[in-house]
Amino acid sequence: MRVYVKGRPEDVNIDDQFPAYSHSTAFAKPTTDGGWWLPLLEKAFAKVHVNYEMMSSGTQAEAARFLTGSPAQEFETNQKSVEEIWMSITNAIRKEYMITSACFIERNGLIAGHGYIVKDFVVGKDSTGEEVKLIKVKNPYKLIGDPSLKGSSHGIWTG
Amino acid sequence: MTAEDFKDSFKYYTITYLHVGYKNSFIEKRQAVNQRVYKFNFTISDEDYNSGPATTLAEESSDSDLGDAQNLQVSMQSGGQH
Repeated sequence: MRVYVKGRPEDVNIDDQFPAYSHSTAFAKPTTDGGWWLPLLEKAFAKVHVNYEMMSSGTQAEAARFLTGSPAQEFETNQKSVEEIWMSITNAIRKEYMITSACFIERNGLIAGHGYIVKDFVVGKDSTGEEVKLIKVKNPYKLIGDPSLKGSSHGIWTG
Repeated sequence: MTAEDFKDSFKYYTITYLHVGYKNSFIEKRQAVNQRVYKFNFTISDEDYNSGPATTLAEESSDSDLGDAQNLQVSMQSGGQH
């Protein structure tokens, strides 16, 4: 598997054996339609970082560097104004950079402790004619069709 | 969601500066071999996340020897990925 280790492209060899728990893989699960790319990718990441325990937590920037080899930078939203965040994200989208976001509280229909993909932005007007800045965020859980997920915005593109 | 909701809902957001042919400096490669935990050693220019004049990576390469640079100055042509 071609990944990026310490900033360099590396081919990591893995086999198809995974740690198991309760009749399934212990950590990342295969997709409902039989895709095993995520457990395989997870195993490559664990091998690079010695073992599975070493990857119990981390940042999206680490994952992005591992997958792309490109530099990634993490921003804390409470350290920036809404306008600064808007400018940062819109400029990044224009340049086709990859943007992800991390949520730690359940708010606006989002799931705490999970990552989301920022896809697009648009400036519109509300019913009073006031300008509204909208950010399109993709809900990844729609793809795996987890029926346990609840919330008004799950399974849709929010805009 | 609105930009205000985005700020309230997400604690972090991450921008990955996708560059075709991104090259690490010599120093980065040497550290990669010697260090078990690697930290990127790069500098993101203002042009990467703010609009403004920028030069291409190829132009940067021709102007300076990136191989000896400890901090790789990554520049981006405004208006799209290359």
